[in-house]
Amino acid sequence: MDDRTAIDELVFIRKVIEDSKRSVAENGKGYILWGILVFLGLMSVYLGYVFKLPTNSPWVWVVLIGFGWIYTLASVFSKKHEKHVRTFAAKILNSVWLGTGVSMTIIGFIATSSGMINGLALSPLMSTVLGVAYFISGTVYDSKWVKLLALGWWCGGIAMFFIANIIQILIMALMMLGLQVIPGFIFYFSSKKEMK
Amino acid sequence: MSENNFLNGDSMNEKTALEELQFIRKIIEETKKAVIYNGKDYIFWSILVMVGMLSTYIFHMRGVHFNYFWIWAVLIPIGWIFSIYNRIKLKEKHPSTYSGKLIGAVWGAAGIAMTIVGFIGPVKGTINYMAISPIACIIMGSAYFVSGKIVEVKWLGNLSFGWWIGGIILFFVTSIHSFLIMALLMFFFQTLPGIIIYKKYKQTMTAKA
Repeated sequence: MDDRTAIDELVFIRKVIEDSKRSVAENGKGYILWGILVFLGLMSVYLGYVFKLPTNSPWVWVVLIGFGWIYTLASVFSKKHEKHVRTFAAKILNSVWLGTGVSMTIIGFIATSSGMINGLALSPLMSTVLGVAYFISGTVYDSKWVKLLALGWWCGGIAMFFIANIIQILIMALMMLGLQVIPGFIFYFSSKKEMK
Repeated sequence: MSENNFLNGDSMNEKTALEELQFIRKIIEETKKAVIYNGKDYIFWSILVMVGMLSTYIFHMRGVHFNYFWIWAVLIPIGWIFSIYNRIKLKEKHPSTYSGKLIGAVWGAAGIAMTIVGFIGPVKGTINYMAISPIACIIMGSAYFVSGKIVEVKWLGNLSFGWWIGGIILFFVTSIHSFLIMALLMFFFQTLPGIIIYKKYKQTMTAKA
């Protein structure tokens, strides 16, 4: 028998187990970046409306979301060039957030320009879509608290369907901090710990 | 136990050790991909939605006017009851796999989101009734995109583009024909894939038997 083959098999099994553990703690930066970008966009709308500032412009969103996509695509490509094996869980998480990003961009830019969706429907819709992404992510991570974030997004979305004024934007901004940026930091610090 | 001790141990034949390792590796790889899924949900939901879309379309075209919301208030709970029943039945027949759990999460979450949009969105008029179909298409697109990656089947993932493009088109169709287009999208991007998945499931089951 070839000893080398057996060792290779063992190394493979060990690698799969370690990779799976590491992949769960991998990200965090994307959550933080997108959370902050959307928070800034929402605050620019809110402050622009309340204080009659020129910040309430669709171009603010074009710049913020454009920047978010450039960062995301750049990090996806740089990861593809890295030599380490990408785990199954990491691939799924990537596809979850890529799919969610495409959906939110269609709703945010194309649906609103068609006139079918009004501005006040945007936050509750985004919140509902984010709930889907968090629920799947929670299943991938096998984490109850991440699944509870999905519940937070869905409940927030339902509530915002009934709040048809500018306060809705402020609520969405706060949800973005509480249910996206803070969890992002939790992922980030736990991944740092895991890497050590 | 070190790798060398493990390989040279008296109690274990070396050939058996390698076979065991290869078996474990095979199981790990298969478990990642194995999704015991019969596709019945795809077919059942698509038929329900087509019935809803076409009945709304026909009633409207024939001048039969009432609150069409009630059609959906009957159809959607039927869909949820069937999905829960089908999930329980599958769990009884097959041990749950990681991929199977993920697929369940994807469609469960997408279903919750579409139910919120369809039933709660229009209550206060925040969502226009005509916007429900395109939004549902966009959510379906995401669900298919992720499902394709989970089962590592390209054509299933590519259905997402059909849903996303269909959704974009529907955002610009403000007439009653939107319902007919949605019914067609449902047939091509949900019923037919559901039938293909069901056939493959049957083949797998026959092969296993």
